[in-house]
Amino acid sequence: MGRPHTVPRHAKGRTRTGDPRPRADTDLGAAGKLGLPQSTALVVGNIVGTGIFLLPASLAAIGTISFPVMVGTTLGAIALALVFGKLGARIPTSGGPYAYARNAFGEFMGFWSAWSFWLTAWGGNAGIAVAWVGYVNHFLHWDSTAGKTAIGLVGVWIPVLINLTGVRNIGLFQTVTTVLKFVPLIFVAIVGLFFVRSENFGPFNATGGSAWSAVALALGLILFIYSGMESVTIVAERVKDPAKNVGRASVSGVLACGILYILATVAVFGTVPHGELARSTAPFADSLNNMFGGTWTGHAMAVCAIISGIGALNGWTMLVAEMPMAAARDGLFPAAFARLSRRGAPVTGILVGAVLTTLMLVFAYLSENTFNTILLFASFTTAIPYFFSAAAQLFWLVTGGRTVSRARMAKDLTVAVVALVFSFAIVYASGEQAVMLGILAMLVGVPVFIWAKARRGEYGSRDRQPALPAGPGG
Amino acid sequence: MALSRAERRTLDEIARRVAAEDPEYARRLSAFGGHEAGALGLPARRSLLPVVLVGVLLAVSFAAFAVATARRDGGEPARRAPHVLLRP
Repeated sequence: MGRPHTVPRHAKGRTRTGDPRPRADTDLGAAGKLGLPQSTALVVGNIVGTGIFLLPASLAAIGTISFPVMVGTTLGAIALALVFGKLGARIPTSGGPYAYARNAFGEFMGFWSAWSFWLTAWGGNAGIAVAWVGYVNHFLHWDSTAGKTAIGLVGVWIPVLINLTGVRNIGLFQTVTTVLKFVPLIFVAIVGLFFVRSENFGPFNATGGSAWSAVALALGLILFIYSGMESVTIVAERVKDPAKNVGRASVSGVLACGILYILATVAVFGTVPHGELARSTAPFADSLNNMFGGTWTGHAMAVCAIISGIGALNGWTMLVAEMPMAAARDGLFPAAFARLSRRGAPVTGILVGAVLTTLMLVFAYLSENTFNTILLFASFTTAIPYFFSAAAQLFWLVTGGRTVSRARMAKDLTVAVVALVFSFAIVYASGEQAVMLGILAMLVGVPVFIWAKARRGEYGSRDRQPALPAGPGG
Repeated sequence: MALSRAERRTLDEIARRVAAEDPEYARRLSAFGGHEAGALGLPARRSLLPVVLVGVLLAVSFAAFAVATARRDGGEPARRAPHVLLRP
Protein backbone atom coordinates (compact mmCIF):
# COMPACT_ATOMS: atom_id res chain seq x y z
CA MET A 1 0.00 0.00 0.00
CA GLY A 2 2.84 2.42 -0.57
CA ARG A 3 4.75 4.60 1.83
CA PRO A 4 3.95 4.41 5.50
CA HIS A 5 2.33 7.59 6.69
CA THR A 6 3.82 9.40 9.61
CA VAL A 7 2.71 12.46 11.48
CA PRO A 8 5.39 15.14 11.25
CA ARG A 9 6.57 16.36 14.62
CA HIS A 10 5.49 19.91 13.94
CA ALA A 11 1.94 18.78 13.22
CA LYS A 12 1.39 17.36 16.65
CA GLY A 13 -0.37 19.58 19.09
CA ARG A 14 -0.35 22.76 17.04
CA THR A 15 -2.24 24.14 14.12
CA ARG A 16 -0.54 25.39 10.98
CA THR A 17 -0.93 28.89 12.32
CA GLY A 18 1.13 27.94 15.32
CA ASP A 19 -1.75 28.08 17.77
CA PRO A 20 -2.26 25.24 20.20
CA ARG A 21 -4.64 22.67 18.74
CA PRO A 22 -8.18 23.07 19.95
CA ARG A 23 -8.82 20.38 22.49
CA ALA A 24 -12.02 18.69 23.43
CA ASP A 25 -11.68 17.99 27.08
CA THR A 26 -14.83 16.23 27.99
CA ASP A 27 -16.26 14.26 25.15
CA LEU A 28 -13.56 12.78 23.03
CA GLY A 29 -11.99 10.09 25.11
CA ALA A 30 -12.44 6.50 23.93
CA ALA A 31 -15.95 6.54 25.40
CA GLY A 32 -16.78 9.69 23.42
CA LYS A 33 -15.83 8.19 20.08
CA LEU A 34 -17.87 6.29 17.56
CA GLY A 35 -17.53 2.52 17.63
CA LEU A 36 -17.98 0.30 14.59
CA PRO A 37 -21.81 -0.01 14.97
CA GLN A 38 -22.21 3.76 15.33
CA SER A 39 -19.82 4.42 12.45
CA THR A 40 -21.77 2.02 10.25
CA ALA A 41 -24.99 3.71 11.41
CA LEU A 42 -23.53 7.05 10.32
CA VAL A 43 -22.84 5.67 6.84
CA VAL A 44 -26.23 3.95 6.49
CA GLY A 45 -28.10 6.85 8.09
CA ASN A 46 -26.53 9.38 5.71
CA ILE A 47 -26.99 7.26 2.59
CA VAL A 48 -30.61 6.39 3.34
CA GLY A 49 -32.37 9.72 3.68
CA THR A 50 -35.75 10.57 2.23
CA GLY A 51 -35.05 9.72 -1.40
CA ILE A 52 -35.51 5.98 -1.07
CA PHE A 53 -39.20 6.43 -0.25
CA LEU A 54 -39.87 7.65 -3.80
CA LEU A 55 -37.12 5.77 -5.62
CA PRO A 56 -39.21 2.75 -6.76
CA ALA A 57 -41.85 5.05 -8.30
CA SER A 58 -39.19 7.06 -10.14
CA LEU A 59 -37.59 3.87 -11.46
CA ALA A 60 -40.94 2.38 -12.49
CA ALA A 61 -41.22 5.14 -15.08
CA ILE A 62 -38.00 3.79 -16.61
CA GLY A 63 -38.70 0.06 -16.32
CA THR A 64 -36.98 -3.04 -15.00
CA ILE A 65 -33.91 -2.08 -16.99
CA SER A 66 -33.17 -0.14 -13.80
CA PHE A 67 -32.30 -3.39 -11.98
CA PRO A 68 -29.04 -4.15 -13.82
CA VAL A 69 -28.14 -0.46 -13.62
CA MET A 70 -28.65 -0.61 -9.87
CA VAL A 71 -26.51 -3.74 -9.55
CA GLY A 72 -23.72 -2.12 -11.61
CA THR A 73 -23.91 1.07 -9.57
CA THR A 74 -23.75 -0.93 -6.35
CA LEU A 75 -20.55 -2.62 -7.56
CA GLY A 76 -19.06 0.81 -8.34
CA ALA A 77 -20.07 2.08 -4.90
CA ILE A 78 -18.52 -0.97 -3.23
CA ALA A 79 -15.28 -0.32 -5.14
CA LEU A 80 -15.27 3.27 -3.89
CA ALA A 81 -16.00 2.11 -0.34
CA LEU A 82 -13.04 -0.28 -0.59
CA VAL A 83 -10.89 2.63 -1.76
CA PHE A 84 -12.06 4.68 1.23
CA GLY A 85 -11.10 1.74 3.43
CA LYS A 86 -7.54 1.71 2.04
CA LEU A 87 -7.23 5.48 2.22
CA GLY A 88 -8.67 5.55 5.74
CA ALA A 89 -6.03 3.04 6.84
CA ARG A 90 -3.29 5.11 5.20
CA ILE A 91 -4.45 8.50 6.51
CA PRO A 92 -6.70 7.93 9.53
CA THR A 93 -7.43 11.61 10.00
CA SER A 94 -10.53 13.78 9.81
CA GLY A 95 -11.46 15.38 6.53
CA GLY A 96 -11.36 12.13 4.54
CA PRO A 97 -11.36 13.13 0.87
CA TYR A 98 -9.81 16.49 1.80
CA ALA A 99 -6.88 14.80 3.51
CA TYR A 100 -6.41 12.28 0.69
CA ALA A 101 -6.44 14.92 -2.06
CA ARG A 102 -4.20 17.25 -0.07
CA ASN A 103 -1.60 14.58 0.61
CA ALA A 104 -1.59 13.28 -2.95
CA PHE A 105 -2.03 16.45 -5.02
CA GLY A 106 -1.23 19.39 -2.78
CA GLU A 107 -3.04 22.03 -0.80
CA PHE A 108 -5.21 23.49 -3.53
CA MET A 109 -6.74 20.16 -4.54
CA GLY A 110 -7.26 19.39 -0.87
CA PHE A 111 -9.02 22.69 -0.41
CA TRP A 112 -11.18 22.14 -3.49
CA SER A 113 -12.25 18.71 -2.25
CA ALA A 114 -13.18 20.21 1.12
CA TRP A 115 -14.97 23.17 -0.49
CA SER A 116 -16.84 20.88 -2.87
CA PHE A 117 -17.96 18.58 -0.08
CA TRP A 118 -18.97 21.50 2.12
CA LEU A 119 -21.19 22.93 -0.65
CA THR A 120 -22.73 19.50 -1.20
CA ALA A 121 -23.41 18.97 2.48
CA TRP A 122 -25.30 22.14 3.39
CA GLY A 123 -26.98 22.38 -0.02
CA GLY A 124 -28.06 18.76 0.18
CA ASN A 125 -29.39 19.32 3.70
CA ALA A 126 -31.79 21.88 2.29
CA GLY A 127 -32.97 19.24 -0.20
CA ILE A 128 -33.53 16.69 2.56
CA ALA A 129 -35.31 19.28 4.70
CA VAL A 130 -37.73 20.17 1.90
CA ALA A 131 -38.60 16.49 1.37
CA TRP A 132 -38.86 16.02 5.15
CA VAL A 133 -41.39 18.86 5.40
CA GLY A 134 -43.57 17.00 2.88
CA TYR A 135 -43.67 13.90 5.10
CA VAL A 136 -44.35 15.89 8.28
CA ASN A 137 -47.19 17.64 6.49
CA HIS A 138 -48.75 14.23 5.91
CA PHE A 139 -49.91 14.68 9.50
CA LEU A 140 -49.84 18.44 10.17
CA HIS A 141 -51.14 19.89 6.90
CA TRP A 142 -49.38 23.22 7.51
CA ASP A 143 -49.42 23.98 3.81
CA SER A 144 -48.86 27.73 3.89
CA THR A 145 -45.38 29.05 3.10
CA ALA A 146 -44.94 30.12 6.72
CA GLY A 147 -46.10 26.73 7.98
CA LYS A 148 -43.75 24.78 5.72
CA THR A 149 -40.86 27.08 6.58
CA ALA A 150 -41.53 26.61 10.29
CA ILE A 151 -41.50 22.81 9.95
CA GLY A 152 -38.34 22.98 7.86
CA LEU A 153 -36.60 25.10 10.49
CA VAL A 154 -37.41 22.47 13.10
CA GLY A 155 -35.92 19.80 10.83
CA VAL A 156 -32.73 21.79 10.33
CA TRP A 157 -32.19 23.08 13.86
CA ILE A 158 -33.01 19.99 15.98
CA PRO A 159 -29.96 18.22 14.51
CA VAL A 160 -27.96 21.40 15.15
CA LEU A 161 -28.83 21.24 18.86
CA ILE A 162 -27.91 17.56 18.98
CA ASN A 163 -24.62 18.23 17.21
CA LEU A 164 -23.75 21.01 19.63
CA THR A 165 -23.99 18.54 22.52
CA GLY A 166 -21.11 16.45 21.20
CA VAL A 167 -20.26 13.29 19.36
CA ARG A 168 -21.69 10.88 21.93
CA ASN A 169 -25.23 12.20 21.47
CA ILE A 170 -24.81 12.44 17.71
CA GLY A 171 -23.83 8.76 17.62
CA LEU A 172 -26.72 7.72 19.85
CA PHE A 173 -29.30 9.66 17.82
CA GLN A 174 -27.84 8.35 14.59
CA THR A 175 -27.91 4.73 15.74
CA VAL A 176 -31.51 4.93 16.95
CA THR A 177 -32.84 6.65 13.84
CA THR A 178 -30.89 4.31 11.54
CA VAL A 179 -32.38 1.23 13.20
CA LEU A 180 -35.86 2.76 13.13
CA LYS A 181 -35.60 3.58 9.43
CA PHE A 182 -33.74 0.46 8.32
CA VAL A 183 -35.91 -2.19 10.00
CA PRO A 184 -39.25 -1.23 8.33
CA LEU A 185 -37.58 -0.83 4.94
CA ILE A 186 -35.78 -4.17 5.10
CA PHE A 187 -39.05 -5.72 6.33
CA VAL A 188 -40.80 -4.57 3.15
CA ALA A 189 -37.78 -5.68 1.13
CA ILE A 190 -37.68 -9.23 2.48
CA VAL A 191 -41.33 -10.01 3.26
CA GLY A 192 -42.37 -8.37 0.01
CA LEU A 193 -40.44 -10.98 -1.95
CA PHE A 194 -43.01 -13.59 -0.81
CA PHE A 195 -45.84 -11.52 -2.35
CA VAL A 196 -44.17 -10.78 -5.68
CA ARG A 197 -46.26 -11.37 -8.82
CA SER A 198 -44.39 -11.45 -12.10
CA GLU A 199 -47.11 -9.57 -14.02
CA ASN A 200 -46.60 -6.52 -11.77
CA PHE A 201 -43.06 -5.83 -13.00
CA GLY A 202 -44.06 -4.10 -16.22
CA PRO A 203 -41.91 -3.60 -19.31
CA PHE A 204 -38.11 -3.86 -19.38
CA ASN A 205 -37.90 -0.42 -20.95
CA ALA A 206 -40.89 1.76 -20.09
CA THR A 207 -39.51 5.03 -21.46
CA GLY A 208 -40.56 4.52 -25.06
CA GLY A 209 -37.05 5.52 -26.15
CA SER A 210 -33.91 3.51 -26.83
CA ALA A 211 -32.38 1.17 -24.26
CA TRP A 212 -29.39 3.52 -23.97
CA SER A 213 -31.59 6.52 -23.17
CA ALA A 214 -33.38 4.40 -20.54
CA VAL A 215 -30.02 3.40 -19.04
CA ALA A 216 -28.93 7.06 -19.03
CA LEU A 217 -32.13 8.07 -17.25
CA ALA A 218 -31.70 5.28 -14.70
CA LEU A 219 -28.07 6.30 -14.13
CA GLY A 220 -29.20 9.87 -13.50
CA LEU A 221 -31.26 8.58 -10.60
CA ILE A 222 -29.30 5.63 -9.31
CA LEU A 223 -25.72 6.93 -9.34
CA PHE A 224 -26.62 9.31 -6.53
CA ILE A 225 -28.26 6.85 -4.15
CA TYR A 226 -25.00 6.04 -2.39
CA SER A 227 -24.12 9.66 -1.70
CA GLY A 228 -22.96 9.72 1.91
CA MET A 229 -20.81 6.59 1.73
CA GLU A 230 -17.78 8.77 2.56
CA SER A 231 -19.32 9.92 5.85
CA VAL A 232 -17.12 7.98 8.21
CA THR A 233 -13.90 9.01 6.45
CA ILE A 234 -14.70 12.64 7.22
CA VAL A 235 -15.04 12.03 10.95
CA ALA A 236 -12.19 9.51 11.16
CA GLU A 237 -10.71 11.10 14.28
CA ARG A 238 -14.06 10.68 16.03
CA VAL A 239 -13.92 6.93 15.37
CA LYS A 240 -12.30 4.32 17.59
CA ASP A 241 -9.39 2.64 15.81
CA PRO A 242 -9.97 4.58 12.57
CA ALA A 243 -7.30 2.70 10.62
CA LYS A 244 -9.53 -0.38 10.78
CA ASN A 245 -13.02 0.90 11.38
CA VAL A 246 -13.21 3.53 8.64
CA GLY A 247 -12.88 0.82 6.02
CA ARG A 248 -15.12 -1.67 7.79
CA ALA A 249 -17.89 0.87 8.35
CA SER A 250 -17.71 2.21 4.79
CA VAL A 251 -17.87 -1.22 3.16
CA SER A 252 -20.48 -2.73 5.49
CA GLY A 253 -22.62 0.42 5.26
CA VAL A 254 -22.59 0.41 1.47
CA LEU A 255 -23.23 -3.35 1.38
CA ALA A 256 -26.20 -3.03 3.75
CA CYS A 257 -27.64 -0.18 1.70
CA GLY A 258 -27.01 -2.04 -1.55
CA ILE A 259 -28.90 -5.10 -0.33
CA LEU A 260 -31.69 -2.88 0.96
CA TYR A 261 -32.00 -0.87 -2.25
CA ILE A 262 -31.98 -3.89 -4.57
CA LEU A 263 -34.34 -6.07 -2.55
CA ALA A 264 -36.72 -3.21 -1.75
CA THR A 265 -36.92 -2.11 -5.38
CA VAL A 266 -37.60 -5.66 -6.56
CA ALA A 267 -40.19 -6.20 -3.79
CA VAL A 268 -42.06 -2.96 -4.49
CA PHE A 269 -41.95 -3.53 -8.26
CA GLY A 270 -43.33 -7.04 -7.71
CA THR A 271 -46.13 -6.11 -5.33
CA VAL A 272 -47.49 -2.93 -6.96
CA PRO A 273 -48.83 -3.07 -10.54
CA HIS A 274 -46.54 -1.12 -12.87
CA GLY A 275 -49.02 1.58 -13.90
CA GLU A 276 -50.01 2.24 -10.30
CA LEU A 277 -46.38 2.31 -9.14
CA ALA A 278 -45.26 4.82 -11.77
CA ARG A 279 -47.95 7.27 -10.51
CA SER A 280 -47.47 6.49 -6.83
CA THR A 281 -46.41 9.15 -4.33
CA ALA A 282 -45.93 6.53 -1.58
CA PRO A 283 -44.69 3.31 -3.19
CA PHE A 284 -43.69 1.56 0.04
CA ALA A 285 -47.11 2.23 1.58
CA ASP A 286 -48.78 0.95 -1.61
CA SER A 287 -46.65 -2.17 -1.44
CA LEU A 288 -47.65 -2.84 2.18
CA ASN A 289 -51.30 -2.18 1.33
CA ASN A 290 -51.15 -4.76 -1.43
CA MET A 291 -49.53 -7.27 0.93
CA PHE A 292 -51.66 -6.84 4.03
CA GLY A 293 -54.53 -4.51 3.11
CA GLY A 294 -55.70 -1.56 5.21
CA THR A 295 -54.86 2.11 5.09
CA TRP A 296 -52.56 2.42 8.10
CA THR A 297 -49.48 1.80 6.03
CA GLY A 298 -49.41 5.31 4.58
CA HIS A 299 -49.11 6.74 8.07
CA ALA A 300 -46.52 4.14 9.08
CA MET A 301 -44.28 4.85 6.11
CA ALA A 302 -44.65 8.62 6.60
CA VAL A 303 -43.42 8.15 10.18
CA CYS A 304 -40.55 6.05 8.85
CA ALA A 305 -39.64 8.79 6.34
CA ILE A 306 -39.75 11.44 9.06
CA ILE A 307 -37.38 9.42 11.23
CA SER A 308 -35.18 8.67 8.26
CA GLY A 309 -34.99 12.34 7.23
CA ILE A 310 -34.19 13.70 10.67
CA GLY A 311 -31.53 11.01 11.12
CA ALA A 312 -29.92 11.94 7.81
CA LEU A 313 -30.04 15.63 8.71
CA ASN A 314 -28.33 14.82 12.00
CA GLY A 315 -25.50 12.93 10.30
CA TRP A 316 -25.02 15.48 7.51
CA THR A 317 -25.01 18.35 10.00
CA MET A 318 -22.05 16.63 11.63
CA LEU A 319 -20.24 16.38 8.29
CA VAL A 320 -21.02 19.99 7.34
CA ALA A 321 -18.84 21.04 10.25
CA GLU A 322 -16.21 18.30 10.32
CA MET A 323 -14.88 18.77 6.79
CA PRO A 324 -14.11 22.52 7.08
CA MET A 325 -12.78 21.88 10.58
CA ALA A 326 -10.12 19.57 9.14
CA ALA A 327 -9.19 22.10 6.44
CA ALA A 328 -9.20 25.01 8.92
CA ARG A 329 -6.71 23.22 11.15
CA ASP A 330 -4.30 23.29 8.21
CA GLY A 331 -4.99 26.96 7.57
CA LEU A 332 -6.97 26.24 4.41
CA PHE A 333 -10.37 27.36 5.70
CA PRO A 334 -11.13 30.33 7.96
CA ALA A 335 -9.66 29.59 11.39
CA ALA A 336 -12.99 29.92 13.22
CA PHE A 337 -14.08 26.61 11.71
CA ALA A 338 -11.35 24.80 13.67
CA ARG A 339 -12.45 25.94 17.11
CA LEU A 340 -14.10 23.32 19.31
CA SER A 341 -16.43 23.81 22.21
CA ARG A 342 -15.82 22.10 25.56
CA ARG A 343 -17.95 19.24 24.25
CA GLY A 344 -15.76 18.89 21.20
CA ALA A 345 -18.29 20.40 18.80
CA PRO A 346 -17.01 22.57 15.93
CA VAL A 347 -19.55 25.27 16.74
CA THR A 348 -18.79 27.71 13.92
CA GLY A 349 -19.03 25.03 11.25
CA ILE A 350 -22.31 23.71 12.63
CA LEU A 351 -23.90 27.15 12.87
CA VAL A 352 -22.63 28.50 9.53
CA GLY A 353 -23.82 25.33 7.77
CA ALA A 354 -27.22 25.54 9.45
CA VAL A 355 -27.64 29.22 8.56
CA LEU A 356 -26.82 28.52 4.90
CA THR A 357 -29.21 25.55 4.86
CA THR A 358 -31.90 27.73 6.45
CA LEU A 359 -31.41 30.44 3.80
CA MET A 360 -31.74 27.81 1.06
CA LEU A 361 -34.83 26.41 2.74
CA VAL A 362 -36.53 29.81 2.90
CA PHE A 363 -35.56 30.33 -0.72
CA ALA A 364 -37.13 26.97 -1.60
CA TYR A 365 -40.54 28.19 -0.48
CA LEU A 366 -40.16 31.59 -2.10
CA SER A 367 -39.20 30.16 -5.49
CA GLU A 368 -39.22 26.38 -5.79
CA ASN A 369 -37.95 26.30 -9.35
CA THR A 370 -34.99 28.56 -8.64
CA PHE A 371 -34.20 26.51 -5.56
CA ASN A 372 -34.15 23.30 -7.61
CA THR A 373 -31.92 24.93 -10.21
CA ILE A 374 -29.43 26.29 -7.69
CA LEU A 375 -29.34 22.94 -5.94
CA LEU A 376 -28.24 21.30 -9.17
CA PHE A 377 -24.67 22.31 -8.28
CA ALA A 378 -24.76 19.77 -5.44
CA SER A 379 -25.09 16.83 -7.81
CA PHE A 380 -21.83 17.88 -9.48
CA THR A 381 -19.96 18.74 -6.31
CA THR A 382 -20.89 15.33 -4.85
CA ALA A 383 -18.55 13.66 -7.31
CA ILE A 384 -15.46 15.82 -6.88
CA PRO A 385 -14.30 14.43 -3.50
CA TYR A 386 -15.01 10.91 -4.79
CA PHE A 387 -13.01 11.45 -7.95
CA PHE A 388 -9.94 12.86 -6.23
CA SER A 389 -10.06 10.20 -3.51
CA ALA A 390 -10.02 7.43 -6.12
CA ALA A 391 -7.34 9.35 -8.03
CA ALA A 392 -5.24 9.64 -4.85
CA GLN A 393 -5.43 5.89 -4.36
CA LEU A 394 -4.41 5.30 -7.98
CA PHE A 395 -1.58 7.82 -7.59
CA TRP A 396 -0.18 6.09 -4.53
CA LEU A 397 -0.51 2.66 -6.08
CA VAL A 398 1.58 3.59 -9.09
CA THR A 399 4.12 5.81 -7.33
CA GLY A 400 4.94 3.65 -4.33
CA GLY A 401 8.43 2.63 -5.41
CA ARG A 402 8.38 -0.58 -3.38
CA THR A 403 8.12 -4.31 -3.88
CA VAL A 404 4.52 -5.46 -4.01
CA SER A 405 2.60 -8.66 -4.62
CA ARG A 406 1.51 -8.57 -8.25
CA ALA A 407 -1.86 -10.17 -7.49
CA ARG A 408 -2.60 -7.67 -4.75
CA MET A 409 -1.43 -4.78 -6.89
CA ALA A 410 -3.70 -5.93 -9.75
CA LYS A 411 -6.66 -6.20 -7.39
CA ASP A 412 -6.05 -2.79 -5.82
CA LEU A 413 -5.54 -1.16 -9.21
CA THR A 414 -8.77 -2.69 -10.53
CA VAL A 415 -10.73 -1.44 -7.54
CA ALA A 416 -9.22 2.05 -7.82
CA VAL A 417 -9.95 2.27 -11.55
CA VAL A 418 -13.56 1.09 -11.07
CA ALA A 419 -14.00 3.70 -8.31
CA LEU A 420 -12.52 6.40 -10.52
CA VAL A 421 -14.80 5.53 -13.43
CA PHE A 422 -17.78 5.41 -11.04
CA SER A 423 -16.99 8.95 -9.85
CA PHE A 424 -16.53 10.13 -13.43
CA ALA A 425 -19.91 8.66 -14.35
CA ILE A 426 -21.55 10.63 -11.54
CA VAL A 427 -20.23 13.85 -13.07
CA TYR A 428 -21.69 12.87 -16.44
CA ALA A 429 -25.00 11.82 -14.90
CA SER A 430 -25.37 15.10 -13.07
CA GLY A 431 -26.11 16.78 -16.41
CA GLU A 432 -24.94 19.85 -18.29
CA GLN A 433 -26.55 22.47 -16.10
CA ALA A 434 -25.32 20.81 -12.93
CA VAL A 435 -21.76 20.75 -14.27
CA MET A 436 -21.97 24.40 -15.27
CA LEU A 437 -23.39 25.54 -11.93
CA GLY A 438 -21.09 23.17 -10.05
CA ILE A 439 -17.97 24.60 -11.66
CA LEU A 440 -19.15 28.14 -10.93
CA ALA A 441 -19.77 27.16 -7.31
CA MET A 442 -16.28 25.64 -7.13
CA LEU A 443 -14.71 28.81 -8.52
CA VAL A 444 -16.42 30.87 -5.84
CA GLY A 445 -14.15 29.03 -3.40
CA VAL A 446 -10.92 30.33 -4.94
CA PRO A 447 -11.00 33.71 -3.13
CA VAL A 448 -11.67 31.82 0.10
CA PHE A 449 -8.51 29.79 -0.51
CA ILE A 450 -6.52 32.97 -1.23
CA TRP A 451 -7.88 34.63 1.90
CA ALA A 452 -7.20 31.60 4.13
CA LYS A 453 -3.66 31.19 2.79
CA ALA A 454 -2.91 34.89 3.15
CA ARG A 455 -4.24 34.92 6.71
CA ARG A 456 -1.98 31.98 7.49
CA GLY A 457 0.92 34.34 7.09
CA GLU A 458 3.15 32.63 4.60
CA TYR A 459 3.91 32.57 0.93
CA GLY A 460 3.58 29.73 -1.52
CA SER A 461 2.72 26.09 -1.02
CA ARG A 462 3.66 24.09 2.05
CA ASP A 463 4.00 20.92 0.02
CA ARG A 464 7.50 20.29 1.33
CA GLN A 465 6.15 20.01 4.82
CA PRO A 466 3.09 17.78 4.56
CA ALA A 467 1.21 18.00 7.81
CA LEU A 468 -1.43 15.85 9.32
CA PRO A 469 -3.68 17.39 11.88
CA ALA A 470 -3.67 15.73 15.25
CA GLY A 471 -6.98 14.45 16.55
CA PRO A 472 -9.54 16.80 17.98
CA GLY A 473 -8.57 15.47 21.33
CA GLY A 474 -5.05 16.51 20.70
CA MET B 1 2.87 28.13 10.43
CA ALA B 2 3.46 31.72 11.46
CA LEU B 3 6.99 33.08 11.53
CA SER B 4 8.66 33.44 14.91
CA ARG B 5 9.66 36.85 16.22
CA ALA B 6 13.34 36.07 15.65
CA GLU B 7 12.61 35.00 12.06
CA ARG B 8 10.67 38.20 11.46
CA ARG B 9 13.54 40.30 12.82
CA THR B 10 16.00 38.49 10.58
CA LEU B 11 13.78 38.96 7.55
CA ASP B 12 13.28 42.65 8.30
CA GLU B 13 17.05 43.03 8.56
CA ILE B 14 17.54 41.27 5.22
CA ALA B 15 14.87 43.49 3.67
CA ARG B 16 16.56 46.63 4.95
CA ARG B 17 19.94 45.46 3.66
CA VAL B 18 18.54 44.63 0.21
CA ALA B 19 16.78 48.01 0.07
CA ALA B 20 20.05 49.80 0.91
CA GLU B 21 22.13 47.82 -1.59
CA ASP B 22 19.67 47.82 -4.47
CA PRO B 23 17.06 50.60 -4.18
CA GLU B 24 15.69 49.91 -7.66
CA TYR B 25 14.97 46.28 -6.78
CA ALA B 26 13.31 47.39 -3.53
CA ARG B 27 11.18 49.90 -5.46
CA ARG B 28 9.98 47.17 -7.84
CA LEU B 29 9.18 44.83 -4.95
CA SER B 30 7.26 47.55 -3.16
CA ALA B 31 4.74 47.49 -6.00
CA PHE B 32 3.65 44.11 -4.67
CA GLY B 33 3.53 44.76 -0.97
CA GLY B 34 4.97 48.11 0.04
CA HIS B 35 2.03 48.88 2.25
CA GLU B 36 2.47 45.80 4.43
CA ALA B 37 3.45 46.15 8.05
CA GLY B 38 6.67 44.19 7.67
CA ALA B 39 8.90 42.85 4.93
CA LEU B 40 7.34 39.41 5.06
CA GLY B 41 4.73 39.91 7.73
CA LEU B 42 1.05 39.12 7.76
CA PRO B 43 -0.94 41.08 5.19
CA ALA B 44 -2.71 44.13 6.48
CA ARG B 45 -6.48 43.81 6.75
CA ARG B 46 -7.00 46.30 3.92
CA SER B 47 -4.85 44.11 1.66
CA LEU B 48 -7.39 41.34 2.00
CA LEU B 49 -10.39 43.56 1.33
CA PRO B 50 -10.25 43.02 -2.46
CA VAL B 51 -10.17 39.26 -1.88
CA VAL B 52 -13.27 39.46 0.29
CA LEU B 53 -15.00 41.72 -2.23
CA VAL B 54 -14.23 39.45 -5.17
CA GLY B 55 -15.45 36.45 -3.13
CA VAL B 56 -18.75 38.20 -2.42
CA LEU B 57 -18.97 39.30 -6.06
CA LEU B 58 -18.49 35.72 -7.30
CA ALA B 59 -21.04 34.34 -4.83
CA VAL B 60 -23.63 36.94 -5.81
CA SER B 61 -22.89 36.35 -9.50
CA PHE B 62 -23.35 32.61 -8.99
CA ALA B 63 -26.78 33.20 -7.43
CA ALA B 64 -27.71 35.59 -10.25
CA PHE B 65 -26.64 33.07 -12.92
CA ALA B 66 -28.68 30.35 -11.22
CA VAL B 67 -31.77 32.55 -11.02
CA ALA B 68 -31.36 33.54 -14.67
CA THR B 69 -30.99 29.87 -15.65
CA ALA B 70 -34.09 28.92 -13.69
CA ARG B 71 -36.14 31.69 -15.32
CA ARG B 72 -34.90 30.75 -18.79
CA ASP B 73 -35.72 27.07 -18.40
CA GLY B 74 -38.97 27.30 -16.45
CA GLY B 75 -39.68 24.13 -14.45
CA GLU B 76 -37.58 21.94 -16.70
CA PRO B 77 -34.43 21.53 -14.55
CA ALA B 78 -36.30 20.11 -11.59
CA ARG B 79 -37.88 17.46 -13.78
CA ARG B 80 -34.61 16.61 -15.47
CA ALA B 81 -32.72 16.17 -12.24
CA PRO B 82 -34.94 14.51 -9.65
CA HIS B 83 -31.81 12.98 -8.13
CA VAL B 84 -31.17 16.32 -6.47
CA LEU B 85 -33.97 15.64 -4.04
CA LEU B 86 -33.12 11.96 -3.88
CA ARG B 87 -29.77 12.85 -2.39
CA PRO B 88 -29.31 11.35 0.04
